[in-house]
Amino acid sequence: MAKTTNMMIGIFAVLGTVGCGKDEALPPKPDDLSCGEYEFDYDAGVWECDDRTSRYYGHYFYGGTWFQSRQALHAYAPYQKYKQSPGFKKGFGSGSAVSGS
Amino acid sequence: MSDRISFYNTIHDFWPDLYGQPYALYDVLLISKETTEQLRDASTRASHIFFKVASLLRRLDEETLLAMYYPKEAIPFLRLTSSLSESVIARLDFVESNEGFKVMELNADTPTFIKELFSVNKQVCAHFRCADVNEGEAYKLQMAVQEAVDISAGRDDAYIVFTAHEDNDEDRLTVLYLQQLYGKASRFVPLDKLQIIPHEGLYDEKGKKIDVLYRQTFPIESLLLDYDEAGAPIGQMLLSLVCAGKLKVINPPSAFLLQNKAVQAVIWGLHEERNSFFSDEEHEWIAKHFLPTYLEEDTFLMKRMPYVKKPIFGREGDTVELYDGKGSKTLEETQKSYEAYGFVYQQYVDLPVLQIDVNGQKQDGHMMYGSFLLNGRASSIGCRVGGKITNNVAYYLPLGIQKDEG
Repeated sequence: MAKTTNMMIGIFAVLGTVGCGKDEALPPKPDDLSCGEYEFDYDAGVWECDDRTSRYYGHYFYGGTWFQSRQALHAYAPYQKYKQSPGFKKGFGSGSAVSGS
Repeated sequence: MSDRISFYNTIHDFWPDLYGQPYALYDVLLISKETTEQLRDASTRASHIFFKVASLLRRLDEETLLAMYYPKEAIPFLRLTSSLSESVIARLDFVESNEGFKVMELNADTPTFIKELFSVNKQVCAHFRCADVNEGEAYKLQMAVQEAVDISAGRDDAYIVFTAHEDNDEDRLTVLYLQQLYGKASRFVPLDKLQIIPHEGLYDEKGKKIDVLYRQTFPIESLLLDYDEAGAPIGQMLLSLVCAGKLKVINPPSAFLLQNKAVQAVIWGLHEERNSFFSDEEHEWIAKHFLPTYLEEDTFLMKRMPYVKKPIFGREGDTVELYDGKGSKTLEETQKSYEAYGFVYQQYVDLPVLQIDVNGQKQDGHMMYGSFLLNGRASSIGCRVGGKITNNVAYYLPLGIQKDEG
C-alpha cells in the first residue's frame, strides 16, 4: 500500500493545514436559518449551504444573498470586488448582509 | 438494408455504426421511473462528493499531485479556478449491483455519448412510441453550454471556436451538436487547423485570435503529447496560454483535475478512515455508491477479491485488465493506448447481462449506465452494452420509461 499511503499522507497534510486550525480565519458563518448546515468553499471564499433539507442546498451565500451556482456568484459585481480584495478568503464580506456597492 | 440502418438514416448527422460495426441498436430498453430516480440520486450524491474533493486537490503540493500521476507539465494548469463549474458536462459511469448503483468512474474532462442521450434517444423513443427517459434535458444542456460560453467569453465580440478531430465522426458530430445548441456566433475549426503563437494566443487557420476554445472531445493528457513539426510542445504552450488568461477552455481546467481516476482512491482513502472532511451523510453516500479503489492491488489480494486494473487517464475500456482474487489476469482489453501513466485498482463488480438484438441476431451483452452531470446536476442517462469490459465498440442501447403498472 506504499503508493496509496504516500498519496494519502499528502492529502492529510493539506487537510491538517486547512482544517480546524484555521477555522477562526474564515469569514463568519451566515446566520440565515433557512439553511441548517454550512460548509466553507475555499475556492469561492464563501459559505455554501450543505443542508439537504434546505431549499438553498448547494447554493452559495454572499453579502446576504443566495446564489444558485458558482457562475451566478461570479457574475455578482460586489463578489467580484471581494474576490479581488486583500480580504478575499480572510473574512471580509462573506457572512454579512451589506456588500458596499 | 436492415431496419436499424433504415431508421437511423432518418437521423441526420449521426453515426449508427462505429469502426465499421453496428453501434446504435434498433431497440429500446424500458426502465422504471424508480430506476431512473435511483440513478439520478446516485449521480447527484457522487457529483457532490467529486466536486467537494476538487477544491482539496487544488491545494495539494506538487509531490502529492505527482503521486497521483498528474503530468508534471499540467500542474500549474490544475491549480487554476475558473468562473465555471468544476465540469460543465461530465459523465458518471455506473454499474447496477445487488447493493444499488456503484460509480465505476467519472469522465469529467471530455465525455462523449452526448448527442445519443440528449437528442437521438428522443427520436428512437418517439419511433417506438414510448416516453423518453431524458425528456427536457436537451434544453438544460443548451442552457449549460450557452452559460458556460458566455461566462468564459465575458464580452459580446469574443471569438468562440468549437474544435475536434475532423476525421473522427463521433467527435466532430458531437461537437457540432454542441455548437448548434450554443446557437450564437461561433465557428468550428478542426484541431489540426489551430495555430499557436507562444505567450500570445491561439489562432484559427485565417489568423484570427480565439478567445474561447470549446474542446469537448479533446483530452488534456492527449494535448500534452502534441508537438509541431519543429518539435515545439504546442500542447504545453496552449496550457500556458490558459494559465496566463489569454485563452479560456471548456471544459475548464478543473475537469482535468477530476478526470484522474486516482481521485476515487483519494475519496475511498478519506472514507476508510472516516475523515471529517466528509460529513456522516457523505460517508454514507460513499459507502453506498463508490467502490474501494487504491493505487495498488494489495488489499484485493489479501481479501482474495477480484479487481480491475484501470489506467489513470484511460477511456472506453482501453488498457483495462480484470483479475481474479489470486491476482491472475482473467481478461484484458486489446487496445493499450494508456500505459504511459499509472494505474488504479478497483473492486470488480459484474456488469448485469441482458439480451440484445443486433441486426436481427440475438446476443447477450453486459450493460452499464452513463449518467450526465450538467454543472454537477444529474441529467440525461443512457446505456451501453458490450463485453465484460465496456469498450469503444460497445453498443448504444436507447432507454425509455416503462408505463406505470396497474
